[in-house]
Amino acid sequence: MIRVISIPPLATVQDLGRDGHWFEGLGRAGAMDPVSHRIANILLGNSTSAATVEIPLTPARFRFETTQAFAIAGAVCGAKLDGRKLPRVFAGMAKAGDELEFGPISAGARVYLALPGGIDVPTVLGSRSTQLREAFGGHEGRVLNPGDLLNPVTHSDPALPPSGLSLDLPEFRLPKEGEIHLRALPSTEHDTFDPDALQKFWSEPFDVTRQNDRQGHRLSGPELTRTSTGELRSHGIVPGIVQVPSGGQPIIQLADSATMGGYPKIAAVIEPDLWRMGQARPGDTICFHKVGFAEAARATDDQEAAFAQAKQALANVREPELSWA
Amino acid sequence: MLTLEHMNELAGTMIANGIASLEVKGNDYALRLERSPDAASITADAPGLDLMTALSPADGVFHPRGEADGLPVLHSGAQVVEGEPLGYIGIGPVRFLCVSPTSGQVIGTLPVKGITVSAGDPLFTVEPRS
Repeated sequence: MIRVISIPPLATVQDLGRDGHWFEGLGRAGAMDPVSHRIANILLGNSTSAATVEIPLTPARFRFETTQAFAIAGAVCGAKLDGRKLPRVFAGMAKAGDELEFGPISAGARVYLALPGGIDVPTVLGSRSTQLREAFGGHEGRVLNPGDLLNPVTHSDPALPPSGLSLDLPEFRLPKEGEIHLRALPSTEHDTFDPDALQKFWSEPFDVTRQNDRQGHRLSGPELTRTSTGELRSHGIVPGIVQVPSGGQPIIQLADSATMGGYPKIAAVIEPDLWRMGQARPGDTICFHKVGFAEAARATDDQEAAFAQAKQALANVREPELSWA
Repeated sequence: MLTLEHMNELAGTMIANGIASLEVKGNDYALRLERSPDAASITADAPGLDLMTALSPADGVFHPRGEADGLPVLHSGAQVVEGEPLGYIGIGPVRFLCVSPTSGQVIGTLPVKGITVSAGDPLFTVEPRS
């Protein structure tokens, strides 16, 4: 069990999201960076869909009320356990009374904290994610506050070496110097944009602006104009859709995406790359790279294979080292 | 060219091995390092008692900290606290943390990235903070 001592605004409990309710006008929610969420869970032997705490911005501080295992992954934020520095990706044991601190973020945007079996919150409509707009799911349907207590699903800790474990998965390292590359498919209104706008969209960098939250990131860069004018009817949108409002500056829809929108859609960022936007910060530079359906499907397979290999590697080192427990 | 960092590492190696004096010569320089009689006598009287060693936690490949873990690169002479990660032993993508056994100063030569080590091999020497 851990107690929240201090926490920034908008820290929530999330899992991989609430699929299956799009047709009812209910978005997915879920972790903004599902890769870090999954890595934190894998380190503890949890299901990758177990709930974690998503902490955007920092600092934050937690106190362990009981001795137990935990894992962290995500942004670089000078994490410390009882004053000892921790790597960006870590799983280990905390003693009752230890404090886990997250300092100022120096790379990335979100940290994920996992407990054995996941964070114990009720499943609502098939997910433990906090649906902030609709105020349900997660921890009482709201952001976390100082004083909140979070329990693990299981009180059985996984086998971990005394000094802890980390994982280094090169494909999931944070982008260097804020340069984020996103693979994307052309979307429905792609061909209604000027050829010059399309050339710029696929070749020139865009900056992440300060207008960003769990719903989406507004970008600034070359103006993207269309050959056809007039309003579109509202239509379904999903996380990853890149819309271009009349100002010509794109918006990427993210985890708390609306389910409907009326802006023209120029592209759709592929699912395996969306985690990079979950770690994007104002001032970061984004480049879009056009791919087809086959490459998008391959990227999903590659990502799943990387997670499967990481799980297997952990299982291989745990097997002969049961004495850790 | 010798840098201050090199000299610091040499000094750490001397302390770690109880060497009282050391002479290093290059094409255009000669450097002689001598431990003070007080420090030398401490080592002679009680060898190794002042120093603590961080041991490899597993068989595997050594990886320094500071590459993709968000921690600062570790140099000889760095101040560390007990339990702080000094480096990693890798088995595939899994990293076992090699942590400082005490709070103090890392001295001596640091392990080279990519070397293969066995569980229990000494990797870092830490001079406890007095």
